[in-house]
Amino acid sequence: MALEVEHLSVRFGATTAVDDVTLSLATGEVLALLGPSGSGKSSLLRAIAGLEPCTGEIRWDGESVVRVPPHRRGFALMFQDGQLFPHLDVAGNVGYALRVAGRRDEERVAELLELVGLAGFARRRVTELSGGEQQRVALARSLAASPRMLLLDEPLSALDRDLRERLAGELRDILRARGMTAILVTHDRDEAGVIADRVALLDRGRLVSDGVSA
Amino acid sequence: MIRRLGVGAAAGWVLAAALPLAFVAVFFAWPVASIVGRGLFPAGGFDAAGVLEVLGRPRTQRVIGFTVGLAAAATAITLVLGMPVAYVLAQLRFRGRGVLRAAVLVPFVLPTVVVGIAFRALLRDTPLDGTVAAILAALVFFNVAVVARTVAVSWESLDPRLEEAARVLGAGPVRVFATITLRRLGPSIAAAASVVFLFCSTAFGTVLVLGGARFATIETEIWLLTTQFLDLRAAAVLSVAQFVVVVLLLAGTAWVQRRAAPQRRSFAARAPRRTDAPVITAAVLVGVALAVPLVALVERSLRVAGEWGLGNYAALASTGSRNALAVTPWQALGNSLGFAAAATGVAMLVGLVAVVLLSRSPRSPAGRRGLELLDGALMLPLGVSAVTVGFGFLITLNTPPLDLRSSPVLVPIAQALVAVPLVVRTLLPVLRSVGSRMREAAATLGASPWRVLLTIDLGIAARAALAATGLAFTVALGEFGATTFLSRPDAATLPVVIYRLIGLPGGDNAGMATAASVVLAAVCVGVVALVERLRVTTAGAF
Repeated sequence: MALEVEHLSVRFGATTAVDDVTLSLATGEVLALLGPSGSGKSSLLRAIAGLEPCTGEIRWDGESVVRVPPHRRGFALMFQDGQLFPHLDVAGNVGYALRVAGRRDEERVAELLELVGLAGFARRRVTELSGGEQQRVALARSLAASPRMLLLDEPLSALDRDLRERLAGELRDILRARGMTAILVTHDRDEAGVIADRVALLDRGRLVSDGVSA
Repeated sequence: MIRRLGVGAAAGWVLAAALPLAFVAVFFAWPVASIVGRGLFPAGGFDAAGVLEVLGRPRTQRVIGFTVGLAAAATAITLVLGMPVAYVLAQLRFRGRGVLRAAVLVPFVLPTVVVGIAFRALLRDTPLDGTVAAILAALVFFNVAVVARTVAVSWESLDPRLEEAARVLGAGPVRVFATITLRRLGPSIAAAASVVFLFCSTAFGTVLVLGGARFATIETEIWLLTTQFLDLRAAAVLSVAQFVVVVLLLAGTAWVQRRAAPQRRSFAARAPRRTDAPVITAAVLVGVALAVPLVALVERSLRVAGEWGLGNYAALASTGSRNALAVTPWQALGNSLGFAAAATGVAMLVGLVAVVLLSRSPRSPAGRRGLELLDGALMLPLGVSAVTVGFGFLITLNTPPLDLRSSPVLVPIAQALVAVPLVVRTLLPVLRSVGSRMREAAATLGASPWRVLLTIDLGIAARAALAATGLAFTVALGEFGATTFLSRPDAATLPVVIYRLIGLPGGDNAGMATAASVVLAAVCVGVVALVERLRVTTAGAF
């Protein structure tokens, strides 16, 4: 197993957002966390990323990562609204992780932009992009980090339906082609079915089913 | 096990908070407290009878009443004149908008002494010379920018659809403005009004130059009492009275601003319509009116004994008639630039550390409370008598452990103290726009907390930081209240030299003062022109 989560709980004061969740993920597997809003699926994802204090155990390849800070976990998180850096252009955003790692690699940036269908967008300002384009940039930026695992927090929810369906297919193809291990948080059953290998259902912080995608 | 903020990280934050706090404590709280202490606790115990005696003096009551009345009147006029400019800057797109933006900011960065001299030049030989109206006009001149820019920032972020909805429901434009727009702008108008009131009630250089001894405000009275009458007790009582008013005002502002939901969206400006004509006319008239005193200043500087000429400028290389000065105005300009550069460095260092801290939203109530206190502490120098600070420096920083009186670092430190609030107000909204999730996104891409700070926070705030640097420089350049106590005659700054020149008899010296004022104003205007090119809307907004 690549990722093992055991008895993980996240509490905010008196409320328990994630309640004793145990799940595991094989290398190259894409798991969808499905649930209504407020079910704790985003909190679970953020806890795995290291952004939310939690109790329980998180292991990668058998080694605990609970004490590893977010920037050393190698789990790239992609937000619903992209969270692109407004002071950097498209290439600046995509190449961010490369520069942080001490590598400046224009070629790799161009290659990733081509992968997400934005060839030639390198010098565009991110504030001028459409919602779909912004999410493509966010995806390329996450992939550039060469993460061990990709965490996708409602990556398509802010988009309109047509675009969502088209991008869901593209996202699945990209994840498959690279053999990415990934967790997708969504409230859309169809989207989960298209992208994920397996769907886990979360309700009021508890894992209620952990079945195989239809 | 709950982790997120390790002991090391928590210690790091506390340590970072220590720099701005220590700066404010050593160079502000301590000098002010000791001067107040000397006045109120002369023999160790609280001198209640003495305080009451000072408060009971007719002159004290007159000074306090005059200060409050003057500041209130100036604030009201400034609001009325600033609103049309705010509207035009926030809502309309037209040629010359950038010029108007910059023109409005110019008076705000002019040294107070220069503003005083410009109004003297304008009103010379008119019935208004030496009247309250002249002081009032100068205070309004100085503060229109605060209203225009503070309200414009907020106005830009209003979603116009709410007004459109009201129009569709049958409300006329005036009614929509009065019932919808004005209420939505309420917090920013209140914030602007309280800052203007603050500036007006603590104005020193302008009032001193225009009012002389006839119209004393609390600030000039403190100066008179400490330097001329050596009545520390009365000065301390006035300082405390001023302090109480300022703290109440700042607390009120913070409360109003907390209630206002911060919006960082910005809606596109539109092309002007025919119905905008009255407002545009009003805004342009305000802009022109702001230029008039400066034109008068330049005109006056070019006249020597009634004739046109450059004699006043030539005299800037001299020490004045009858050797009035220890240094030439050109040398003083050099001193000013050096001090202001050092002050800007200190203000940016303290200000940047402070805004990085203030832009965080800690989860613990104690952390939040601490940040609110830090925020308030950093704003205090804005409103507390610069004269008290300057005099406080003299009496506290000349004994061990800190004996700095003979060292030239006091001037830039005092100037930095005055510039820090401006740096904080310019940068904080920009850094607050960086959401915690953007930092988290960077973290999951492999960036360490330091790296996030450098590449995301400071990356986004880079232009605003440059603008803040420029503003801090002009503020330091023009600082007069504290500098007048601290600068030594052989290392005098230009504002101090200018004030000395107008206090001496002889037309040549007065002419020199106008020429020196033009030079100082030109430097400030140049810096503002550079700042404006950065298009940072929060510059000069509160």
